[in-house]
Amino acid sequence: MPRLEDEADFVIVGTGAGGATAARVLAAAGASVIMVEEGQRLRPEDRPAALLDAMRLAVRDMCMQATESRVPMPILQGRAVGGSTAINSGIIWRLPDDVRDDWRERFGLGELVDERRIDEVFRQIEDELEIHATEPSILGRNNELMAEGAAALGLPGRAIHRNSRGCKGNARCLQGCPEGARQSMDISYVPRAIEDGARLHTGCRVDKIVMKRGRAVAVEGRGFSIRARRGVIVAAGVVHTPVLLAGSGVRHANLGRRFQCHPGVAMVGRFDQPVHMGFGAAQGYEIPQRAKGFKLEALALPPEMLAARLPGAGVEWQRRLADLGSYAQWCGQIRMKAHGRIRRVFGRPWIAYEPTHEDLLKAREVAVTLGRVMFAAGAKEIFPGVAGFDEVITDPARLDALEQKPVSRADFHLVASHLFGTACASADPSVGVVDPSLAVRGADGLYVMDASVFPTNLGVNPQHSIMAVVWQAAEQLAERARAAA
Amino acid sequence: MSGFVVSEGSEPMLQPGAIDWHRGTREFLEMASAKGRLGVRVGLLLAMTAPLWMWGKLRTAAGLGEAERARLLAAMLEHRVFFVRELTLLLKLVACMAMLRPAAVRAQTGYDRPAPRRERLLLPVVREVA
Repeated sequence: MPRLEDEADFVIVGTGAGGATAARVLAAAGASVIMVEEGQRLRPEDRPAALLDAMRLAVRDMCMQATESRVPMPILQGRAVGGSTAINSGIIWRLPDDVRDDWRERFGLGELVDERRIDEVFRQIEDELEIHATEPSILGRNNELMAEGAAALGLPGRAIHRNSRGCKGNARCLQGCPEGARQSMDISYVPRAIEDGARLHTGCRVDKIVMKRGRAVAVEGRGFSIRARRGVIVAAGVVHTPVLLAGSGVRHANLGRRFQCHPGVAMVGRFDQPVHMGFGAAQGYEIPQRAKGFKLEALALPPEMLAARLPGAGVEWQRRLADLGSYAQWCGQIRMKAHGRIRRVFGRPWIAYEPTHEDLLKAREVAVTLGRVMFAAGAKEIFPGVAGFDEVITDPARLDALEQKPVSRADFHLVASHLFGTACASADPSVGVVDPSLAVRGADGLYVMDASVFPTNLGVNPQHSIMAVVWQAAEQLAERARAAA
Repeated sequence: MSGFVVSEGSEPMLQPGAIDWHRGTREFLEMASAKGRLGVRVGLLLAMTAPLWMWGKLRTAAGLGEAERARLLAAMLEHRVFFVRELTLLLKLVACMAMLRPAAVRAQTGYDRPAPRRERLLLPVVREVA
């Protein structure tokens, strides 16, 4: 096979929320840009409904990527053009004010997250990606029931704001929208950058950034070499960015450290009315509990996953399975305090992460709150999914006992998404792997533009914040490039 | 895999023989990552030998009756050791993938909303006016 060789002003590794946004901004500014993506470009009509096929095509390691701990925690990431935006539910939240203030005060990132400027960027992205509240006509019962439960308990819920255009409520966000309605990066900013002259190479896993006299000049992998005249932008995701940097000779005490995430717990409930989870926005309703450090979301799963979550085996399980249309599933994303570390071991990521006891108490509170909302919405029975506790609860009073249950890590099925912090940005050189312009310290022409640069987790879905922060940094980079030319 | 479902008292769609468990497992093993393949193989080994290490019976799961095999898997899903629970759950997920792959089976579960019935559209008849 001939070796692929190419050259551009900027070479961007990864096409998720960070990489695609950087490409969109730089290409629009007139720079020549090449995007390099490990996964494949999938057309909406090629996204299969069957879970196994869908995961093989677009989910990293088929969701077998996990933390290396006594109780492993799966880490969900996309691996296709669009990165995780090609498998998420398109939930959009702006960077919370308290997080912005914290980043400004503790990490000196005032210019990067300047309130006036970043609000303009948020608005522009919201216009371009058609962000709006989920329409009532496509909520479906899984979402509506959560709204009814929240209303009954007086909790502050709302229809989720998503980046979608013409969503028909296929509930197939994880497998990939067959209509192309979700404005994920593969549908929006990657094609937009290509229209502006950017090039895309897929199926290319970057193994190394080539450094010459302290400057990033190219990226290489099996069968390809792509030269960068002005710079290399790493947007390979929070797990792989630090591994790629470390393997390319970047050294900093915090590289791979400060790893944070929002692990989630889920709960299934049975209702005596049709829910038909297969219709509706996969995630169309949420109950933010920011002060408590978590957010509840309705979450439609593919039928294979929902079936596996129903308790038991044999006749009892079959009976439940034959009535799969009566179940709702919701989850809670937890803003955990724990910090982990990602290291490069034999060229691959080694993820160490252990929730703190306080985090586990929060997981228990999420389970109890989900249960209360489900009963308030009319659930006949719920499956809390907490080991060592009742497999099935039919009496809401049992939630009081769950609230008192001592907790250990092995009690919960946690799945982590929303990853942060392994190449932290800070004005303080001893803290920040990258400086406030997102340039890697100690290397010229090398930048990180994904959630690795976030100094803390957010407590909300990060896609919008990643895009806005990267937009800001990419605009500054384009200006510097123009001035230098 | 077939241990998760039993014929007695089951719904017709889940009768043994309706699902090709071998094909389902093989497909998963072909597509899964190395870690996934290892997980399924260790899970199968645990399940096959579970009558011995869980109940002290000198036989494999294959030697159990249908109902007893389902009872064994249900006990493994609630086992106090996390890895036993998780690997059994992985087997259950593989079984679900095999079971719900045929569109006809999925349609019978009620997961999807039934397509709205289309009212027959009756167009007005144009008659020649004398």
